[in-house]
Amino acid sequence: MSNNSVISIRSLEKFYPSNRGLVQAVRKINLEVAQNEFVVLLGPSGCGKTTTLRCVAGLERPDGGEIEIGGELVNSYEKGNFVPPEQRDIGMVFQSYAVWPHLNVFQNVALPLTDGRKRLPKNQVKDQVMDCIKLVQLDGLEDRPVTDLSGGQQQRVALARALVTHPMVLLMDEPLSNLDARLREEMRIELKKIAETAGVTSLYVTHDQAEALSLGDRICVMSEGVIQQVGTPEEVYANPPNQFVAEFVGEMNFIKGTVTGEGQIQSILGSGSYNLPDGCQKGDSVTLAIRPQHVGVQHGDGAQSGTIKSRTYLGDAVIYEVEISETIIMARMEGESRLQVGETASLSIQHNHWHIYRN
Amino acid sequence: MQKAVSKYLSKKGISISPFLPLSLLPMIGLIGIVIVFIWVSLQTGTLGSDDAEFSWDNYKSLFGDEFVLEVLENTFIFAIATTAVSLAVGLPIAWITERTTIRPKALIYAMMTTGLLVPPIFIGMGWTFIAHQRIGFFNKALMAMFGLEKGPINLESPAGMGLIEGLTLAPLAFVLSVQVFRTMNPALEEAALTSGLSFKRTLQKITLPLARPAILAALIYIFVIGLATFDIPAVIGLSSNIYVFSTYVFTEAFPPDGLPEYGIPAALGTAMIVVAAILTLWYVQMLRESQRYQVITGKGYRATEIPIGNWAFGCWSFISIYFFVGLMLPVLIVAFMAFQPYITPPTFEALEKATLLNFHEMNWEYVWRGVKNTVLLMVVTPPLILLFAFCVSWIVVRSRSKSRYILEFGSFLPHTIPRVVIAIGALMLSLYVVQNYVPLYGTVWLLVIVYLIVWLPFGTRALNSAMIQIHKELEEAAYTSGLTKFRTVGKVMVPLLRPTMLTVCIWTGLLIYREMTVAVFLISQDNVTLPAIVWGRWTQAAPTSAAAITVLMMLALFPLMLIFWRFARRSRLSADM
Repeated sequence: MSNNSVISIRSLEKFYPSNRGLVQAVRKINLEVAQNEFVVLLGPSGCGKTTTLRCVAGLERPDGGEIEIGGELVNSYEKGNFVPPEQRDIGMVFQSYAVWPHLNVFQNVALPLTDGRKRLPKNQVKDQVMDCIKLVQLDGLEDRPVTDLSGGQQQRVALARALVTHPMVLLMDEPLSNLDARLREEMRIELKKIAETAGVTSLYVTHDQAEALSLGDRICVMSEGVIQQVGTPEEVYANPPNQFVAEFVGEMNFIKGTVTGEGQIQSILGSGSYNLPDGCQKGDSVTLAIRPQHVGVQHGDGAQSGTIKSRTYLGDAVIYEVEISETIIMARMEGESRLQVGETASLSIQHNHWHIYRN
Repeated sequence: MQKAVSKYLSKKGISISPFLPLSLLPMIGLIGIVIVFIWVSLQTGTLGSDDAEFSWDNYKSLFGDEFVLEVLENTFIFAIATTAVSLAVGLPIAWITERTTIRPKALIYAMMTTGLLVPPIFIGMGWTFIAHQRIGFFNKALMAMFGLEKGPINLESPAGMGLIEGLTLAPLAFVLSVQVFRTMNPALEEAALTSGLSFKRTLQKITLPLARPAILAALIYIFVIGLATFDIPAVIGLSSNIYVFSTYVFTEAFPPDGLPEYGIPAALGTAMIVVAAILTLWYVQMLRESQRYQVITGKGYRATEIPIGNWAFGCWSFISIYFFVGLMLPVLIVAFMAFQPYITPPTFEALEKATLLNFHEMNWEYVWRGVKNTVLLMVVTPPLILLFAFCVSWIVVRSRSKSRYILEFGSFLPHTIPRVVIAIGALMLSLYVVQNYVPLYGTVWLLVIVYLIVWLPFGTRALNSAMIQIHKELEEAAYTSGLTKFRTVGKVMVPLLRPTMLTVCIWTGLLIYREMTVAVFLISQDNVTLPAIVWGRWTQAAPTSAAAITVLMMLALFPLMLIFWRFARRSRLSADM
C-alpha cells in the first residue's frame, strides 16, 4: 500500500500543553492516501483532525511517528528529520481563506510562482495564473483587491493560490465552514469538480458529515485523537463499526437492550433475535441502533406500538417521533403520511438494518 | 423644557440621546481653547489693553525671525531623532516578544510597562547627571581619561535630547507595534509557507507589507508627540538655551524678566496645530488600513513562533541593556543624587558621605501641598474621564444619529493638538476670558478640566472597543425586559464594561501622577503638583533637592504599579497617553 500512497501517515502523535496538563491531540494514527484520491477527515471539534492536517502541511511538528509525501519522508520524529512547510510539495486552503489583503486577486495567485518553491520565468507566470483563475471561475476579477470580494470569491482565490503550483497534495482545513448554507452546497459540488480537473491528491478536514459524505472518495472518522473508521462514504454510512460513528454520521435511533440468550436481545421492543457481534455473552448490555428511514409507522395498534409525539414535515418526507416506554424513536416516512400527534401508531422495522454495539 | 424640545425633534424624526449634552461638554471646552489661541495669534500689543489690535504681524514675524526658524529646525531634528530611537528599540523588542519562542514573555511586558510609567523627567534628570557636557560625571571621566577639553557626549543638542526622549518613548513604540504582530492572522503567513515561500521571503512579502501601515501609524504617532513634547527638552535643553517648539513657547509665556509674549508663540502654535492635524489625518488613515489587515481569531492558532535558539542571549542582552542602562541607570543615579549635597560622581566614597540634607532642608509644607493636590487630581479626574468617555462612546458606538460623526471627530481632536498648546490655551482662556466669571486660574479644578480634555480620547477609545464587543442584543434584551435606558446602563452595560473601566481609571490615574507639561503651565502657589515641584527645584538650580522629591515619587509609584498589575486588564492596554 505504502508504495502507491501519495500521503502516508504512520503512528502520528501530537501533544498540546493545556491548563489541565499535556493533552494528546493525536494518538498514534495511521492513514494512507492514494494518488488522486479525495480523503476527508471527519470528526467533532477537538478530535485531532485539523492537527493531523497541519502536521502533514508541516505547520505543526509531530511528537511521534512519520509522514511521507510522494514517497519522500518529510517528517520522522524518531529520525529527527523535518522538512519545513515551504519545501513540501503541497497547497493549502485555510478556514479563514487567508488571502493576502495587501495584494489583488492576480498577485495573490501569482506569489507562489514568483516567490515560492516552484518558481517560473515571468512570461509563464501569467498563463499559469490565468489558467488557475479560470479554473475557479474568477476570470475578469483578477485586478480586484481581494478585500472587495465576497467570502465565496475569496475562498476561490485561496483555492486557486493553492493549486497554481500544481502541488502533489492539496490540503483543505474546513474551507467551506465560513460560507452560508446555500453557497456552501454550491461550492461543495464545484470543489469536487475542481479537485478532479486539477488531478490532485486531496486531504480535507470537516466536521460536517453531509460534506464528508458528498465529497470524499474515502472518509476517515476521528474522535479524541483516534481514527474510528476509514472507508468509502457508503461503508461509513451503512456499517458504522461503533456507536460513535453511528451517532456522528447521519441520523440514528439508539435503544438499550440486554442479551438474554444465543442471538436473543430483550429491549423495549420486546424480545427478538438479532445478529450479535462476536463475543457477546448472556447478560451483556448492548445498544441497538437503526436509522429513521428503516423504521416505518402505521396507523393503529401492533406488536411494537407507541404514541406519536411530534410530526415534522420536510416536503419530500415526514419525520415522526414515536414514544415507546419513555424512549423516543424517530421514523422517516417518504412521501405523504398523515398520522396525527397523540395518535397510537405501530412501528415496522426493517430487521436486517439493525446495528448492535456492546456497551 | 428639554422634554418639549426632544418631543418636537422626535416628531421631526430626530431623536436626541440623553448622553449628548454631557458628551459635548469637553469638546466645547477644547474648541474654546483653540479659538482663544487663534484669536491671540491674530493680536498685537498687550492683550486686554487698548493698544491691542488685529493684525497678521505675528505670522509675518514667524517666518522672518531667525530665532523662530532655528527653533523649528531644532524641533524637527528632535522629533526625528525621537522617532528613530524609539522605533529602533521598541520595534525589534515587540517582534522578538510576539514572534519568537523567547521566554518569559511576561517579564518583557513587565519591563516595558514599567518603562511606560517612569516619568520622562526622571530619565532626563538622570541622564543630565550622567552625560551633561559640563557637569555629567561620565563626560568628566572621559575628559580626564583622554585629556579632552570638552565632554565628548553632547546631550544638550536637539539630536541628543531626541535620543533621551526616544529612550523614554521606546515602550510606547513597543506597545503600539506589539499589537500588530499579535493580531495579524497567522494563517496569512502559513498560507505563504505552504505556498513555498521561505521564511525570509514570507517576512519580506507578507509580514512586513501587512505590518507596514501599523508601523507607519506608530511612527507618525510618535513623531507628533516628538513635535510638541516638553519634559525632556525642558529638563535638558533650557539651561543650555537649546529651544524646541514647546520650550520656546514656555519661555515666551513665562519670561525670566519682562512681560509675557503670547502673540508669536500662539502663531507658531497655530502652525503646529495645522502640521499635527495633517499628520493625524494621515495617522488615522494608516490605522484604518492596518485594521483591515487584522483578524480577531476566535479559537485560531497562535502565530508560529520562531525558535529563538542561540539568539536568546543576544535578544535578552538587547532588552536588558535598554531597560537597565537606558531607563533604570538614570533613575538610580537620580536616587543617588538625592542623598548628596551637590552633584557628585557615584563612587563608594560618595556613598559613604550620603546625607539626608536634602530632606531636612525641604520645604515640607510646600511638598505636602503638592501631595494633596496630586492625590486629589488622581482621585477626581479618572472617574470624570470615565463618565464623559462613557457618554461619548455610547453615542459613537450605539447611536445611529448623525451626531456621532461629530463626536467621533471631537473625541479625536485632543490628539491633534499638542499638549503644550492645550496648556497655554487653557492658561489664556482661564486668565483672560473666564476669570471674571469663574475664578478657575490657580485652582486644582483648572487642572482637572484640562486633564479631562487631554485624556478623554484615551478613555473613549478604550470604551469604544470594549463596547463594540458587547453585542447590541444584550442591550436590546434589557429594553424588551422593560428596563429604561439609564437602568440598562447601570444593570447591563456598566457591569460588562467594568474591567475596561477599571483599567482606564487606574491608567489615567498613573498618567496624571507623572504629568508635567500641563502642570508647569497652569500651576501657581496653591495648585502645585508633585511633578511641578520637581521641575521647580530643578530650574531653581537645586538638582539634588529635585532628586530627593523624585525619590519620594518613585517610592509611591511602586504600590501604584502593583495596583495596576493586579487590577488592570493589561492585554487591553492601548497606548494613548
